[in-house]
Amino acid sequence: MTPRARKRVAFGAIALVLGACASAPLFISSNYPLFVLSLSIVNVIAVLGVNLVMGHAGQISLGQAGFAAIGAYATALLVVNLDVSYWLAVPLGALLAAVSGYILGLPALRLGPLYVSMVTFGFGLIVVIIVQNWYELANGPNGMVVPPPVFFGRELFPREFHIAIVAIVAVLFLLARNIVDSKHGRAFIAIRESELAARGMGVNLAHYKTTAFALGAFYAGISGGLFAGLAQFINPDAFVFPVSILYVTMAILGGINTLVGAAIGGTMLTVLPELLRGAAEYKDFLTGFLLLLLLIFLPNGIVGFIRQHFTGALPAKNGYSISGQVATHHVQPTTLQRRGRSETNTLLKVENLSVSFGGLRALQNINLTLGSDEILSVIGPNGAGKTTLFNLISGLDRPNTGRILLDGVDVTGWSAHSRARLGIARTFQNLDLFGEMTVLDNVRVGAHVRLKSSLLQAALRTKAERAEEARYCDVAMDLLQFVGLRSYANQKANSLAFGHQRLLEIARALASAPKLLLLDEPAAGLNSSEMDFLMALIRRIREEFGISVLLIGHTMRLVMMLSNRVMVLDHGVQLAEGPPSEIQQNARVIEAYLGTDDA
Amino acid sequence: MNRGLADPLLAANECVVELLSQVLISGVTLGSLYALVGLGFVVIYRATKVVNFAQGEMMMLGAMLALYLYSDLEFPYFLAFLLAVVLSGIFGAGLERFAYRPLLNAPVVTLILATVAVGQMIRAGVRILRGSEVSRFPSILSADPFLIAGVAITPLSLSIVTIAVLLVCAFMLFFRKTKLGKGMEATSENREAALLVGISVNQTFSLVWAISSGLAAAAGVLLAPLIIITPEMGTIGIKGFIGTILGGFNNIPGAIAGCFLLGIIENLGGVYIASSMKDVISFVVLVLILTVKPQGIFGAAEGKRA
Repeated sequence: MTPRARKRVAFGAIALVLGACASAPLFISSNYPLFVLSLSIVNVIAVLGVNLVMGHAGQISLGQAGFAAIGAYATALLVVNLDVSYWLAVPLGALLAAVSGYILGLPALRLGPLYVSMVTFGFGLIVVIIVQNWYELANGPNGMVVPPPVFFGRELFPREFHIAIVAIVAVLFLLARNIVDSKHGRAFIAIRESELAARGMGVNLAHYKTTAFALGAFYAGISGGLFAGLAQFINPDAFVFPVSILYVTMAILGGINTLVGAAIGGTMLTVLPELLRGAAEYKDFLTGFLLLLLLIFLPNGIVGFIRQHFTGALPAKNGYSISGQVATHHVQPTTLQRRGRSETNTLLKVENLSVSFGGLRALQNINLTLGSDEILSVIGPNGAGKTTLFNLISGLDRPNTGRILLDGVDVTGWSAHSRARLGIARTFQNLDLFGEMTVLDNVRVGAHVRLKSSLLQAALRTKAERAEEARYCDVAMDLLQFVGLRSYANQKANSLAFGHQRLLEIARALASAPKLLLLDEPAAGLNSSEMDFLMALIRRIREEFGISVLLIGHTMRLVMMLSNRVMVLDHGVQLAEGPPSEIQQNARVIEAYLGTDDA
Repeated sequence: MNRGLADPLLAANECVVELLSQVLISGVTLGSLYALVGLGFVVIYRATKVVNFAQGEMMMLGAMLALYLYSDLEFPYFLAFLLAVVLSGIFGAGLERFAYRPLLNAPVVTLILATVAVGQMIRAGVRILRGSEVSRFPSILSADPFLIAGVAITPLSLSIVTIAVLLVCAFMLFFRKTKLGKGMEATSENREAALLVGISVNQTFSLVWAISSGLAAAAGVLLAPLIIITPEMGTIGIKGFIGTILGGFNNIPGAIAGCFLLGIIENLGGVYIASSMKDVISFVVLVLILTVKPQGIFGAAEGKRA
């Protein structure tokens, strides 16, 4: 099955399940089983939140129950004290949760999973402590009674409220799916797979991490608000740490990076414990045990297991062959349409650039200029500072002194993603693809900076957003054709052969339609026929698209044949610069490479 | 959540200075226990880059074991203490073998979740075995204060601080001076290289988890007479971690100082804000320090944290 067909089948199945859920009140006459079913749907919503923040964006959150508590208490307080309509109170409570999620996401910008897990854990704990001690409004540990939701002046029966919940989960599921399938969802996964590469592709980490936390919190908040209406009673015990763990276990049981997994895990882990009817401590113990077993034996959950064993991933094609026709593929003019050509002849200007790391001077007083439509190679022994220079130009590292100008704009203080937006793209020496994404989606992340749709437009899948997605999907396919990987489009990037991964990095970098392309040892590990293909490709990038190329090379054949000019670095110092023929004769360069006689 | 540490004592003091010094002393007592738990966190973090969310539960387990041995089986106190620590250490090594070793190559997030799962199992397991009722650890030392320079100190808290500080020192000596300790350090620096020079990574990790669990259990036993023992008391363990972050994770003496500081801050806040807000205060401290100086008060800047 193609991914699209698979998606269609999954979608049909979901529609069927939702229909069954909505019509359940027709068959279930007693209140308790219906309550359990409603509760499982309410939990599924919270698990969708876990899915987005942890499964997709890869940000650990151990405080999801805290967000649910905010949603639940805000809803209850608004309804009870301010007489706000329940149906308005729930989204308001969820918005409050989303704002807290956004704020909580802020420390995640600078810190790793270790600290984020602590902060989110602490947050969940604090929320519970606060409501426990909030006697005046929230009645402390004794909890609050919530009136039944009212719809057009009439209190809803449980089965009517159940149908409302099903409708809400359907909408929320659709919104989540739309987001996941958009530019924004791809950015989330890109961050999860490699923050460094994501930054290089122009993904604003700060924005997407906080957005992921806010989204996850929003879903948890809705879940909390609906829980308040369903149970008609809330107390702090409903939102303690084990509840956060339960949500995470549900998400992992179903499959944490698939939305369908949320539905499966959420329902199973709500219904099963009810059947067991054990005391809370037995449930907690079993949840913990299940979580541990899942982590060890089934980290991709039920959906992951089914995918792996039944639908089967597409057969990996590891044979490396380049057909002649691919190399002459004509790229659509719109594919690499640039945002205005450079005015001046100098595209990149680097002035007196120096940087040191922990006392080690990695680069000293580097000066270079790169003209439009030029290929400049940077060569030098290992540790000469070549990749450091690339990191400074692309914005992944900051210089101590000096300036970097692109098209006359001083970008020295700019973040990596702003520079990507302005037209700098790069590949990585050690290959930094988004391994779990498809080949096609890798290239689509490359086009991230060219897609303009907002999160809201993506969630609602507006006409403009769909058109934009379709357009850039074509662009990505076109680029895959250009590098000869079109037939691999639906495979996972990490299943590609090494040489193909190098080509995919180039396609991904080109997708942003850059003015300047930085290639970090593009030929490393390639055999000679692969190298010929690569050289033809780089020439075409310069000649047909007018993209200037700065490349780091170890392979002399590549450097000497392609470059207009060559710059030599040694121990962070600029040794020489000039046309390839001149560099080959340069005594200092020969010395740096071969050593002096007395060395 | 209100553990009301030494509250009755505080009530007796009316003079502000005395109150302050009293707060300081109970802060130091608490801090010494945080240091003990915190050291366990640091050991595991340095070896495996994982924050052990079950550390507080190991502490609770230690207290529970000691209580069982001492009260139910009527073992002598020191034997109960020793056995609780040793048994917890063995339990920790077992956890490493069966829960964490299979995940050694998994992402850090997975390992963190595994410790969360283990913590929940211990907490719920103890509740299943013992019920949720609260217990008090019979005090072996008098809680009657004696006065030093007008400040009331109880033999109990004095002994706790002394034992905790001795344990911390002994452990640091072990870590720095013995071959085993250096092996642990080497393994944390570079697993492959450690393997090449003949250090068994698996054995080292077993040892790391055993030691860390033993330290937590010791803290639990020492803490036991001061507070009410419940299966939920493990939350205190997390404070040890916060203390080490406050002080600076990559600088062990600094981390320990941070634990003492946290104990004092918490007690000050408990008196001047609200005693029920002690836990909130420590998490506010956590967020503040992570925002303002993520490498900790005494830690050297080291770029981005793990």
